[in-house]
Amino acid sequence: MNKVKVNIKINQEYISKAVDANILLSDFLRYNLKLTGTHIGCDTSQCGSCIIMLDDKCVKSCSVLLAQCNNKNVVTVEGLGKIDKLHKVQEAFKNNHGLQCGFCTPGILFSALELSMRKNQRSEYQIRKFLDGNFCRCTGYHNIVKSIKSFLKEKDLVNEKV
Amino acid sequence: MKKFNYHTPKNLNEGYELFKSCDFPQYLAGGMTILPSIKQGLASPSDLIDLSYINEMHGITEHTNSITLGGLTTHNEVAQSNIIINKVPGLASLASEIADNAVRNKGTLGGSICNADPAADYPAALIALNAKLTTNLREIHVKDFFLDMFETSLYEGEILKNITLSKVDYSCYKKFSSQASKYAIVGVFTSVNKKKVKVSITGASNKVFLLDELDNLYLDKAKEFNLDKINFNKYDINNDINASADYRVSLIKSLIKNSLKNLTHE
Repeated sequence: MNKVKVNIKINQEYISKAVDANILLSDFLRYNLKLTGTHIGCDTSQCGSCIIMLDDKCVKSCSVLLAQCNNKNVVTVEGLGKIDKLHKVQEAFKNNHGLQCGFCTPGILFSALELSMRKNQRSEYQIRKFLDGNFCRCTGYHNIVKSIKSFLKEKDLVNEKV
Repeated sequence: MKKFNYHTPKNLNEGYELFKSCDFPQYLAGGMTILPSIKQGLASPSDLIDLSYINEMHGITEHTNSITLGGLTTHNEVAQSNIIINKVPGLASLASEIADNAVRNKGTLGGSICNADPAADYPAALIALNAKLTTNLREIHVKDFFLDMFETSLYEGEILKNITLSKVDYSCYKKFSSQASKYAIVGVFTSVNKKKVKVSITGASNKVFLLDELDNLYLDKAKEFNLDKINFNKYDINNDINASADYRVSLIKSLIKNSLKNLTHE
């Protein structure tokens, strides 16, 4: 098996490494970098717990090879905010009780972020539809939607001022 | 995960030559089907040939009577392209309903077509929009492309470069999908051009098919057509865990009625 040279930026840090071709991005994040905030909730690429941002777009890190990420920019939940300085989307989830066990939360935060980049997708129906592919096994969707609504509202207000 | 080699050819020819030189190679586009399959042990290629660095397989171009989409166009790029939204809105809405957002960011048009899943959405659009598929070797008309479940007329190692669709006056896609996978249990694509209708159906049989009975009827005739008169036996409608054949036939009829209902004669 050939080694693949990968230059990748993860949470603002540059990593340059020759890696095995069959390493999944999710495994690299969790086992090599110990960034265990990216969760693995299924083995069938369906649950969305492992969603991260790859060049500003949500992807399932369990279905992407590290080798495919050469010259790309990755943001995981560890790169979003810190305990004492949460990202706005994390704050919204905290304020609205947007999580129960929290397992699906990292993936959902990124879905919420990508949704916030799209104008004209603000209705509750659109939010719920956009969450297709993010499973909350506690079934706490009601407060997840509430959290995302509040985040989008705040973000749109800030954008209007700018 | 099983071990394999990984290659990044920069052009079609390099990719094709690589394919011929490997033991059990497979092409990698978005990877939304092949990677989960490898993870589950359902596929074990010796080599993955990543096509994403081949520039000529990217992008959407508009021509006078048609639109060409690169094989590596992602579902979200199809769904959000202004050209597609304005000229073939049915295709934009189809792409926006594939799987979920994270998959749509990575999965590609060409990858989906070459996989030829009988429940995939794109094949229906390709048939109703008279698609022409261009590979590194030749041009294939869509009616000669899909042979059976997961089987196409592509040669070993042939690469689907781009897809050219006819512009039409009206297009619309309606599907009833499996809630877990979002794959179509029945998907109906309707196009109308110069007042003539084309209806194609995916998900219902082993491969996508054109509904002959409505083909090229004038819109008003198609609206009046009694769908109960159609003998669906000849289309070999699937009877499986997701839906019985009778249920699928009933879905086909109601989705067609829904698609034609709001159309005017303009």
